[in-house]
Amino acid sequence: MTDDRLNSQSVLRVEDLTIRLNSGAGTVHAVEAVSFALARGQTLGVVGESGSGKSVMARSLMGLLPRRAMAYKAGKVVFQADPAPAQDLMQMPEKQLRHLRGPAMAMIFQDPMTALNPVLRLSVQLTESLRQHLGMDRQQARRRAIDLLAAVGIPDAGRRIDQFPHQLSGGMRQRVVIAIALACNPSLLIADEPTTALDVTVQKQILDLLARLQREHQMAMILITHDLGVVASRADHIAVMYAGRIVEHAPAKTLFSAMKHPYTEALFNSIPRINDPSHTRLQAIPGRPPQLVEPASGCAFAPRCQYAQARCLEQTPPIVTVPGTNDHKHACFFPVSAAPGQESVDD
Amino acid sequence: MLNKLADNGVVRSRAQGFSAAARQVFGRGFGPGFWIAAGWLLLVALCAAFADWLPVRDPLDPVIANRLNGPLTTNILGADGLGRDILARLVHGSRVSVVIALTAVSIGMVVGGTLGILAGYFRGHFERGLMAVLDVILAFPWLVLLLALVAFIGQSLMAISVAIGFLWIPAYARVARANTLSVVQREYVLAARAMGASTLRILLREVLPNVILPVLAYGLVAMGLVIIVESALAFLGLSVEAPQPTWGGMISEGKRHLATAVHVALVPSVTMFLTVLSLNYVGDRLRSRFDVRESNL
Repeated sequence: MTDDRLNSQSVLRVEDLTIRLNSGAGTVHAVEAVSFALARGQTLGVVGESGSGKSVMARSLMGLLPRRAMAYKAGKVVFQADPAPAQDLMQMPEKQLRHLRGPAMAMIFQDPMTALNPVLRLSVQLTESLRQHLGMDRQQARRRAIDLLAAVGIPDAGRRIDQFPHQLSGGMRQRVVIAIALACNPSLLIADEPTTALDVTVQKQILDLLARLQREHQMAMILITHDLGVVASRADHIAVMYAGRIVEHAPAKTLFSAMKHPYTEALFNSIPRINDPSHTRLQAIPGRPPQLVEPASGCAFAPRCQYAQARCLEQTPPIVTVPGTNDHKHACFFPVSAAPGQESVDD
Repeated sequence: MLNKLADNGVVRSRAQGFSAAARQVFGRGFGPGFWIAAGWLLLVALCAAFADWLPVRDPLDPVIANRLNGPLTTNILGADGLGRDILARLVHGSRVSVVIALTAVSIGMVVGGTLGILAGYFRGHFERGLMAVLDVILAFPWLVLLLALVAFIGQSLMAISVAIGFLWIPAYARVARANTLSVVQREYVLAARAMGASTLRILLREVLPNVILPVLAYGLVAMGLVIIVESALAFLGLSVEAPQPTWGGMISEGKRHLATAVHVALVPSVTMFLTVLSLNYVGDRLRSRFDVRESNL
C-alpha cells in the first residue's frame, strides 16, 4: 500500500513521548523523546534489544504502566479512531481510557503461556470484552467468540472454546490471545514480541495470521520485536530503538538498503547468514546495553560504537532527516555512508 | 506373528487408555489413605447433620446403673460418669465441632481472604496499615485473646464460632495477599487491563479464581486446628455451655475418671484425633494436588 494515500489518516501520532519510571536503583529513563506516526492499515516495526524501552513504550501508549511506578511523563499520544475526534491519551483519565482499550486498541503479549488465565475457560476469556464493550448477551458473545476462534485458524472452535488454556499448545494459545485482542475490532493493535516464545515454524504462521487479519480489518499495527528478520518483510516502517530513543526510523526497504545508524548496522551484521561457511564466527556487538538509570550525556551507543568520536560522548545527537528523503530519520553525528554487505548503494 | 504383535500392541494401549481414564475419574495418586480419611470425615459430617435421627440413645439421659461402664458392655462405647451414653454424646457433640469448624473457617476465609486480596492488589498505605493490624493480632497469645472475646460476646455456638473465626482472619489475609501478589504479576492480568477490564472485574475474574484454590485448600487444615481450639476452650469450660455435649467437654469431664475408667476421656480423644488427622491428611493431599495442577499450567 502506498504511504501517500494513508498518511492523511494517521491513527496514532506520538510526539516527544518521555517516560521515566521509579525503580529501586533510581529513576529509569525508559523512553526518551520518541516520536512517530502510524496510519491506518500500516505496520510499524519496533526493533531493539532487551531493555531498550520497547515494551515500556508500548504499554505507555495504552496507559498500562502502573501509576505508582511513573516518575515523570511527557509528550503526546494522539489517537484517532475513525468516527471519533483525535484525543490525547496522555491527558485522558483512566476511566475514559478503559473504554478505548479493547474496541479502539488492543495488545498481544509475548508469552502465550502466561497471557491466558489458567483457571478460566476460553469462552469466558473471549466473551468478557464482547459483553462489556459491545453489550452482547451470553449467546451472541459465544457465537462471536466461536467465529473469532475459527478466524484465527483454530480447528473445531466449537469444542475448543470450552477448554482450558493448558489443553492447548503454545501456538494455539497465541492464536487465542490474538482472537481475544481482536474481539472488539480495534483500529490499533500493539503486538509486543508476539512470536518470541514460539518456535520458528509457528512464528511464521502467527506472523502470517497477524498480517492477514491486519489486512482484513485495516488495522494499524505496532510490531515489537528484537529480531530484525521478523519485521523485515512485515513492516512498512521500522523504528530502531536503543536506550529508550528511536535512533533510526525509515521505510523498511530504505532501512535495509541505506541504513544510517551504526547501531542498526551492528544489529544487521549480527544476523547469522545461511550462506556463510559453517563455523563462521557470529558477529556480536561488543559491550553491554547501557543502564538507563541516570544516563550519561552523549550518544548512548557511543561506548559500543566503532565509529564513535569525542563529540559522541559529549553531545546527544538530535534526530535528523536524511537529505533527499522525507521519511528516513536517524540520530547520529557520523552516519554510516553505505549499507554493509550490499553491493550497490542507492543513497 | 506380526499380526499377533500388532494385536498385543492394540490391546495394551487400550488397557493403558482405560487405566488412564480410571485414574482421571478416581483421582490420580490419592491412594487408599486419602479415601479412608475422607470417608471418616464424611461419617463425622453425616453424624453432625443427622444426629437427631440416628438410632443412638439420648445423650442427656443419665442411667445411673450404667455409670462408668466400659465399651461393649451395656453401651457400645461405654457410659460416662453420669451414666450417659458416650456414643450418643459423640454423635451429638460432633455437631458443635462441625458447626464451629465450618463457621469459623468461613468467617476467616471470607473476611481474611477479601482483606488479603485487596491488600495484595492495591498495595500502598492500605496494605501497610492492614498488615500492621494483623501483625498485632497475631502477636497476641491466641488463648488470651479468645478468652477475652468469649467473655465479651458470650458462650453461644455462634459467639464462639465468630470468636474463633476472628482469630483466623490474619492467617487467611496473609495467604490471600501472598497469592494475590504473585497473580497480579502475571501477564493475563495486564492483558485483561489491556482489554479494558475494570478493577472490580479484574479482582473477580482474574485474581479471585486464582487465589481461591490455595485459600480453599488451606481450609481443611484450618478446620482441624479450629476443632482443637474449640476443645481447648471446652476443656477450660468456656465453650458451649453444658449440658450440650462437645468433644472437648467430654474429654474434660473424663479426666476425673482417668484412674478408674480411661475410656471416658479416651474415646472422645481418639475420635477428635482421628478427625483432625483426617482433616490434615485430606487437606494436605488436596493442596499438593492443586500445586501440581498449577505448575502444570
